[in-house]
Amino acid sequence: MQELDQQFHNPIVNVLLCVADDKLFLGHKNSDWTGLAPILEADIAFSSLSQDDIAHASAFYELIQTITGQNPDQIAFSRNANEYLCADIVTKDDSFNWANAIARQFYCNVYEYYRLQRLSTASWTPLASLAKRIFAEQVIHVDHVTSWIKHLGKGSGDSNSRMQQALDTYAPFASMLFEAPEGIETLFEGKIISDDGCMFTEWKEHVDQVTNEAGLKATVAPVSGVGGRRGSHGAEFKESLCELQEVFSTDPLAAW
Amino acid sequence: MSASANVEVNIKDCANADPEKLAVFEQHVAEGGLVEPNDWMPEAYRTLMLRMAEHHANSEIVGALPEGEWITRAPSLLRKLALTAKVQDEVGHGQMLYEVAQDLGKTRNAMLRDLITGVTKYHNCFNYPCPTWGDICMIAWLIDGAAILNQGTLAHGSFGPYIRTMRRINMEEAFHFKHGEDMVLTLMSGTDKQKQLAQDAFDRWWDPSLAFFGPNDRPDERERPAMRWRMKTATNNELRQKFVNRFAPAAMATGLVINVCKKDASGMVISKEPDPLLKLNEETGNWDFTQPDWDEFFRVIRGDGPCNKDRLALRRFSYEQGEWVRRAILDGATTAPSDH
Amino acid sequence: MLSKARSNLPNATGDLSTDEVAAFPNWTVFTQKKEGAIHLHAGSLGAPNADFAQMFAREHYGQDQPCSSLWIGPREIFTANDGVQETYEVFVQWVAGGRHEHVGVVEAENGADAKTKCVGQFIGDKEYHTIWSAPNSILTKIESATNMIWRKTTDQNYRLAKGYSRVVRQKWDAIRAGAAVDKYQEEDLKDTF
Repeated sequence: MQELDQQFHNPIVNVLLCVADDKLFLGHKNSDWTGLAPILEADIAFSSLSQDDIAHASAFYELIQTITGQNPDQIAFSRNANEYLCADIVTKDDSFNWANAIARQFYCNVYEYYRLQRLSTASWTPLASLAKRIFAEQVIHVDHVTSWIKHLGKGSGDSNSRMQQALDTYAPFASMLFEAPEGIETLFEGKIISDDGCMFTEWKEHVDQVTNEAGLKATVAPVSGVGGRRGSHGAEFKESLCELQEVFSTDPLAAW
Repeated sequence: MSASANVEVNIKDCANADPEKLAVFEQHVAEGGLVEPNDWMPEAYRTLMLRMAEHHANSEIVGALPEGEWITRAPSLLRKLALTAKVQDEVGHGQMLYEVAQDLGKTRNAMLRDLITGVTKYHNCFNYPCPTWGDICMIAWLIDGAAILNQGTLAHGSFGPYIRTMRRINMEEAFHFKHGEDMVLTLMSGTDKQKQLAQDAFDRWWDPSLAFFGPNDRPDERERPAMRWRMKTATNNELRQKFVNRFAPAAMATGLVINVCKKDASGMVISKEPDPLLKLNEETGNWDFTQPDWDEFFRVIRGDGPCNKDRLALRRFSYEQGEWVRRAILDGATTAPSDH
Repeated sequence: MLSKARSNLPNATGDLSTDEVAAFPNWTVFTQKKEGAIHLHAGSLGAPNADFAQMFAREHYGQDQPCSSLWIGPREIFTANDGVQETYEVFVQWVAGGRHEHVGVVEAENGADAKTKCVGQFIGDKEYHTIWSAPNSILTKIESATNMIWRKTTDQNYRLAKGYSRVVRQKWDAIRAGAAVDKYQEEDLKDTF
């Protein structure tokens, strides 16, 4: 495996944790729907996507392991809340309202699409090749959620307004997906990954195109303030983390 | 978790069926022949098969609920993935079985509504609580182990669409069972606390596993329609014995103790003693064991179990929450793009 | 703790409060396990339109084992005898209880003609149970080579029985060895050893 200069270790681990933690908790929230979605077929499909996300998170934790030596389960299950770097949108509760789940999935999936695209051009090849492989599956996720947005947006007056309300609820949290992880400038300067200064614009254009076509509107402002990428999380993240760690933490050294 | 399809139906008789056709049909089935939806069949066969598939489907989607509660709490990445996949499979089995039942004449919506309004039943074992991670391990090992034994025989039944579905289901059930075995072995080779977790859960699930195969055989078991028409190919008692022969020695080998337990109304164990009858009977070659508490079994079936209300409430919540979604995409189907 | 949403459910009321939503149209799905293999009937599903049908089929019938191609069509077209002149895919169920398998294509006037031609071209004197035909233009076909179905990116062994065989065997061996050792040490004098 291509060696990465010591000075980039912490910053790259931060970037990898952002991806892995986003995927882990999005998968975690979505997997909770298994058995409860509005249509059996949709249930199966949504669960399949949540498994992809958790499997992708695993793959990123494994890549972190090559740098820090920690095993993936320890990374995933045993950190303190402020050491997780996901954006809080992934754990924003959906209350088993399908429109909420779809809005969350839509913002996050489109974001992930552009992030993975960016990471596929990383000069550190282990990251570039992993991002490229995962990107192929991310395309399916984006297609899937795009269909839902379009059908619910155009379905009926009722479904349009439910979907609009959900998009509005999640919009402020969507901004925070774009918060920069600590040390990322070092990676830009070292040409490890390319500067993603225009990612928000690309993402916004994509989101607008889909929502316009569906008769919906996404009002998302650019990122501001400090949030999940710097380890600062709200109450809903902490509740999700408690659940995630409930069994594991009864004996963190045991094999499960 | 999957389920046995022990449906109690009283098929009065086949008086209305054409006797010649009926004779040909019965001979065809008796000789191992298979029946497809468009073939002639007595109305009673259709009714019984529909109820069996519907009951089985209901059991799958209700069975997804107790395990679903633990997906977010699974203690490793592998367990989280596997448990999600297992519960997803159960929903998938339910979906496929509802398709089988639907072809026999009842719409899926009607079946889902009958389930949540209590008109139809689902497998009794899902009315017991699942209070710890240990229960997840035992359900996957014992209940899915029982389901494989049962469904292995159902796959030799007479109705084509059902046995095709059963073959697919059994393939996935093998994963559930192996995963369960892995989890139980992991706990039993782990810390003292983990072993206790496993033993406590085992105490809760041994009885429901024995009862899984349904009540004791009636004297005329083989003459009843389900067996005469080869929808079932083994009796409840045969399957139960097979289960004990396989699982009792395995459980003991891992260090688990097989207890006879008394439980409170919430399904938690209040007292226990090692099963006094448990031993390998040299004469019969079978393991002797204490019967499950059948009074309790019938009480729970009647609706007075620890979790009956919770399970149905959750199922109903899901159905009602999803109503607007189903309506919207059906309404929009004609106007929305079909080729995005 | 249960997840928040699961632990705060409204109580069930009496009758269901809304009218029943009409059933979705039914779709038939064929899967191909690997390139070059025949397409076999996998099952059916309910979906409001072709778009949802392919989404659902991909994640359901396309994920429980490796899948290189999916064909999806409205169920009634497979058994219909009417239709227009075009290419039909034809599927034979050789025995009752078996799965319909794809045997080839025929140019036909309509569904009935397609079934007749199927007998002529692919069945001959052999016995069979039923034939389905489906107009090519109505089927949705997804090829994994260009449009991913089965996920190859990450290890899928977690959802297959064979993914556990080795570790389960190892754990049994360890447990049995441990038990044997205990037996062997049963008579040891604890104070001495």
